[in-house]
Amino acid sequence: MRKLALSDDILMRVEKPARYVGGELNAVMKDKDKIDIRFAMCFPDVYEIGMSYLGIQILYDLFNRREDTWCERVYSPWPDLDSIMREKKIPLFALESQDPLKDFDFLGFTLQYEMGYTNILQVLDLAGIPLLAKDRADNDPLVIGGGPCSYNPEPLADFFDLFYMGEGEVSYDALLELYKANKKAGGSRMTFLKKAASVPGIYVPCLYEAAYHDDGTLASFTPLFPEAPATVRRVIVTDLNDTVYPDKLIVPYVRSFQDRVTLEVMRGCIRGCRFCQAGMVYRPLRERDVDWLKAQAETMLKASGYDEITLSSLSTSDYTGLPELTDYLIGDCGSRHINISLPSLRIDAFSLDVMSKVQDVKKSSLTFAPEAGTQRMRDVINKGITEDDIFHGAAEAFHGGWNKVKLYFMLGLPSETDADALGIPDLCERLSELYFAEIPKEQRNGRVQITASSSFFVPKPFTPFEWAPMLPREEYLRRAFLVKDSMRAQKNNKSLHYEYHDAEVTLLEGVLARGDRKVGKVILRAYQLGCMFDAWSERCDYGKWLQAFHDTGIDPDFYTQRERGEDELFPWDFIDIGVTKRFLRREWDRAMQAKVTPNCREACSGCGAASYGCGICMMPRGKVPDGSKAAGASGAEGGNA
Amino acid sequence: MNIRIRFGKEGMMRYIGHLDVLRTFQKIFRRAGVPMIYSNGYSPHPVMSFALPLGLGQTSEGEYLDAAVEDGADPKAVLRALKKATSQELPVYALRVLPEKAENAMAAVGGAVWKVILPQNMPAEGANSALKAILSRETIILPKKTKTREIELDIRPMIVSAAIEDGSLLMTIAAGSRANLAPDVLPGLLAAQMGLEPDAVSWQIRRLDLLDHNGSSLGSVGEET
Repeated sequence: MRKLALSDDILMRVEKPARYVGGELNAVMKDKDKIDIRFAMCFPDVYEIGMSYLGIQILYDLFNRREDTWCERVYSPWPDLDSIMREKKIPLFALESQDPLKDFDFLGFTLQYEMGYTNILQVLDLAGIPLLAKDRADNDPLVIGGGPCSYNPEPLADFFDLFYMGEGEVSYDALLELYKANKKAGGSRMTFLKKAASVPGIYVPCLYEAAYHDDGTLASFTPLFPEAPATVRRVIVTDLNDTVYPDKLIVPYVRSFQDRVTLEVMRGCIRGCRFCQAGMVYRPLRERDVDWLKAQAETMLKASGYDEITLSSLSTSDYTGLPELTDYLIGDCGSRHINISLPSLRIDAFSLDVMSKVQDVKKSSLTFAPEAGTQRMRDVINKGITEDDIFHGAAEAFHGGWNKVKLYFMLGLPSETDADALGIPDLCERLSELYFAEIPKEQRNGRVQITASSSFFVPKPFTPFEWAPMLPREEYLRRAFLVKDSMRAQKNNKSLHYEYHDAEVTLLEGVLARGDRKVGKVILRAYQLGCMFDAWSERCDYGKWLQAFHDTGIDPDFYTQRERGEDELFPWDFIDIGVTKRFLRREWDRAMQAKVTPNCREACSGCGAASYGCGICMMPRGKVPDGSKAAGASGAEGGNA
Repeated sequence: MNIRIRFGKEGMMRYIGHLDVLRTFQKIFRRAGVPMIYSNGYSPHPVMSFALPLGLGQTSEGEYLDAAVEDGADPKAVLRALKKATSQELPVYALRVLPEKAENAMAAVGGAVWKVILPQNMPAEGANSALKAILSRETIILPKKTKTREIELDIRPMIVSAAIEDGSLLMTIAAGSRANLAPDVLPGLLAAQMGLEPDAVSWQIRRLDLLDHNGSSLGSVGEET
């Protein structure tokens, strides 16, 4: 039996001790004397959140297939254990071996949301690893980051030795081989980092220098060493049928947030919603083969014992094999009491039919994401759905027996007016009226319930809105109250419910999302002041963050309230994600004219992702939209050239 | 067909709560490919129930789970498959097919056999005489909190037998819905009798078996597989 890092006494004092003991089904144990590389993979949040994330399971499987590497997991200790570990000076450990993180060769962080940044410092601190990369010695683990937030790594540049831009399947083998060779040759940390900078997709922040104009904007971003490339290009898997995928998911004993098998059906998205970072940075759309998915579903269900499977992607309705796959799963799983969950579906006749087959209609509510209340606003963000789509979808849903509808919106979008904000209650009211018009009294199953939920829009790097200013806190709240009051004044207000997100957290997220290297000081100071688990809004202490801005002399408004100039050099411009800045600017201009851009299946708009030469970019499609120069199936447009 | 399996909880499994263990067994059955019977109604779930929850932090070699599986399943094959599908720290020991009219495990529980490893500061000799003194009392009245008020309860009849052996307290005490004595009550009395503060002692508690109302093991019902 494994020896645990925490004593029985401590484990019995903390909430959910199962978070810290490992030993789950399919967790990988290896003999540490027989391996060369120890890799600790961290999701910097609490266990149940981190265990729900598929990406780590994919990398965990990928690394552990190597005989010379043992990949283990680590998550943020919850504040109850955090304080015990500090008091008793217990170093943070990995779940599998229960060994201190300091003994590892690599500590990898997946960067899923900006508000998790202080938790990265918590993990480093508890592990006894110097917080700043420049203070680390040769025997400290190499700290590497990846995931969506690494597409603007600059606010975290001080804390990381390396970042990985792109999909893990591509370059990790090369990176690990390089590490092994360097270790064998007795090379230093710096020797390895310089060599690593030449591996495709790897960014080594200490090899670059940022210089600023007097107004605080970035003047230049230059490599300091010949080994460091001026541009770091994201790496992607060109053929998804050629990747490994975990057959045996780690199955937690305590219920995680996604207590089910997750099957990734494709990567990328054809939609091009202008607010969505994932829709840009994961281009182009690449599908997995439907027969492969059927077999994989079978294998994973069998190896885990889960009673639910979910199909995962950015927009599952756009997966061409969906009818075939769902038919198969319904036939195969239905008889075995296995549920199928289908998030990210567009609401149309097909998806409602599927959902009514796999879910209990009476219990479930239906979720739409119109994102904005007026058609003008939806065109600005290129949501690609019309009011007709929404009303048809809703009518179908009401006839299908659903009477609970959830609607997601954003407030504070570029060019939004009060009329656009008021479009939200108006849309909700008209949907409730549609219910009464469509469904005769005797067929109604209780009152229709329409819940609108709004978040405040945060502009993200590598989106057409990367130039956009945010709004002051008071203005966000004014708009939320405007919607709230109007919601109450509607005729069917008893059927309508409205909730909105926190404005303060939104502004912090805004600073971190488009911040530069200077912002690292603020994160460090906020952590020193006690900020942790900021993603848990009830735990985020805005006052401490304001204190941190004050103490470091950084003005948050510089990052949030300013409309960036067309020619401004952004901290993330040295990264080549495939999609070009020129395309993003063209999309910004079209947004300001409320012009819709067709999705990738309708026509190629020449975003630049065709330079990867794979996926949707290689399929024959329609003509290019008005006036814009674009690359079609035949030609590829270069990166940022 | 109703089956009863005997299983243990070792090592890190002692930190996994009752409901999580139940969910884990549902997964083990599915991994083993054992055809389970599902309940009818709103949200069908496998028909499965534990005899008696085990407290967090306690280990056991005598836990019982009743489950309904499809008629005609080969008990030997089911046991083999379950053993293969479970983990080292949640061992499955035995399986019995229950007679048609057998009481379910939860209703059947009347007693539990425990082993409490005593700490260094409770030497066997002192513990032995302290235990004798406690057991010689005709009544042992302890306060007990109910939902609404505090009552006094005589726990003496709930102690069937108790002895010190190899530095451990071995005891058979009442368990289940009719009368239930928590396994740390007698060790607590023992420590107090020896003049030790409650904070100064800690022990490891292990359940050895569960008994029915006649004092027979819950694992002795039906045919052995």
